[in-house]
Amino acid sequence: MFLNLLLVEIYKICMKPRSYIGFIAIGAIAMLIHIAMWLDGRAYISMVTQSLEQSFNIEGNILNGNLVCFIILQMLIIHVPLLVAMVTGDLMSGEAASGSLRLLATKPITRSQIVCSKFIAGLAYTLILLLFLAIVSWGAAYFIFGSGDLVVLRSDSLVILQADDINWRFVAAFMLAYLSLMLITSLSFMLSCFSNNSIGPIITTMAIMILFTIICSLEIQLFDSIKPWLFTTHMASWRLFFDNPIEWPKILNSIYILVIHVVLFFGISLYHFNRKDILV
Amino acid sequence: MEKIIEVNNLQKSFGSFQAVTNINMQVFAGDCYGFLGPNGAGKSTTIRMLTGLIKPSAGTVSVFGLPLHHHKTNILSKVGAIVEKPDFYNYLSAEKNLVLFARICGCNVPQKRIDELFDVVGLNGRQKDLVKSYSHGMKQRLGIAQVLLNNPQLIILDEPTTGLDPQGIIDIRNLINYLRQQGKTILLSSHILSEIELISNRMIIINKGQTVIEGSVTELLSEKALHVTIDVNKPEMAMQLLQQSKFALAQIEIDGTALKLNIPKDDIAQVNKLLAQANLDVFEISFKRPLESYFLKLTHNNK
Repeated sequence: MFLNLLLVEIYKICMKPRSYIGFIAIGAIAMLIHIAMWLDGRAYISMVTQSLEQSFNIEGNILNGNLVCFIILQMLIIHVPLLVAMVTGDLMSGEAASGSLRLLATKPITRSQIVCSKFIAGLAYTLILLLFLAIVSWGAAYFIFGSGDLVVLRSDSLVILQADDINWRFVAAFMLAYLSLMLITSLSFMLSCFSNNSIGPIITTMAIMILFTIICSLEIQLFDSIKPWLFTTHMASWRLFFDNPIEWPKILNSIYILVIHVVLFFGISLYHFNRKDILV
Repeated sequence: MEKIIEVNNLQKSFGSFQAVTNINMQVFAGDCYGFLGPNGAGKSTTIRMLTGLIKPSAGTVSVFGLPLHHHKTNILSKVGAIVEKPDFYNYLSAEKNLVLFARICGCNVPQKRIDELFDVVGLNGRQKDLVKSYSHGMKQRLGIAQVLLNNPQLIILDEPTTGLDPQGIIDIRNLINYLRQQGKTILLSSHILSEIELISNRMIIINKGQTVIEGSVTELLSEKALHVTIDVNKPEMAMQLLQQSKFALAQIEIDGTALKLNIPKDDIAQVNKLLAQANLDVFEISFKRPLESYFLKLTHNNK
């Protein structure tokens, strides 16, 4: 019964036109970056490495698939939450707004089954969107630019990662990025359970993200104690996999905080929806 | 007779607003139970409580002899309901909607059965169309097809004829009669008394969230003491005449040019004859049953 419900929810996501906006946006942006790097990548790289070339002799192919993929990820990973929230923030509230939730809730299924099936379907969508991002960034960059060592510029350091030491880092980075996006899924889904219109949860998710990001970036003592607990602090932790040596305690701490948030948001969704009067 | 729905002292409040204050009702197997009340009487709130969409603040709801709160899934597997209006997934075809809802119900509905349902509700040939292209009437019909998917024993229809054209109303009425012949128990809400009278065998009237009256339609809409209004040229003379006749005991009063009295339907012709023999001009004779008058008053007061 639950599997049927889950398949129905996945089917509904597949049939909604808005589900494809994320794929189109990611595909278009990745393609633009690939074209730009193909045409003007060397000039871009030399501009970035100009100051380094005065002290170091850089040889080999710096402009390779790994670097292009890293650049795409840096740019896109900030915007993917919006694309995720556009679909997952609509899962419950969209049905409430259209009235079909009323019909769904009079079927012989429990409220918990409705919440779980929609949430898992939302997570599946997020995973597929991220896999698509991996294909168009990593896969396509490899195909166009080939492999090579990855040079990561930090504000205070330069990290050079050997080509044969990179693949696992990308896999791990994508996995941690998925956990971050799971958090966005659970946040927007929770807001969706509280709302009867589909725009509200999407905007509120982004507003929360912007607010927390601002708090994280402000160097004010007042916020120092809460920053480690804000999920936005940990959303870019996937970058830690491109440090050398890797700071595992930091990564584990981020995983811990992100998982706590996901469980908390999902728990609130489940609790609220089970007690909610469906009035729409 | 087997009780299908039993509601006792049902209450629901939203903050300080009491939407349902005290509803008691019993629906028996095979009934077409009319659930009547003016707009805002609490019909939809009660139906939402009967289908588990909202939780009662107090009181009990038993369906098929089981408390709804504890056996919701089991009960809903034997219930088909349209609450307020049937809303589907507009981006899918009507047929796909039915297939999805069949899967959600966990019932294996063959394509033949789905085609049959489209035939029953008169939507044959339109099953591949997107629901967003459907008119309100077509959605109502599709709603009934959806209700019948799991072959329910109890069907709850919340104002199914609202917004339909006259032919649509007749079609839905025929469909409900057909379902009743199939042995289904039907709870039908409406704010139109004549509609309930035509379809139902038992009924309840609620107002301001309370049960006003419940019973069989024939008893409640009896024609033993009708409220008769006679438009006559000399009402005072007509009243005198009637008071001297066998209708002396009937409660008679004058309202403008109209004479109002309470008599059985069979006596109306005799009254007309008596007035005509006295050379009085009778322009119009109309009558309403007491419950009809009462319900009209309720509806009027709620406007």
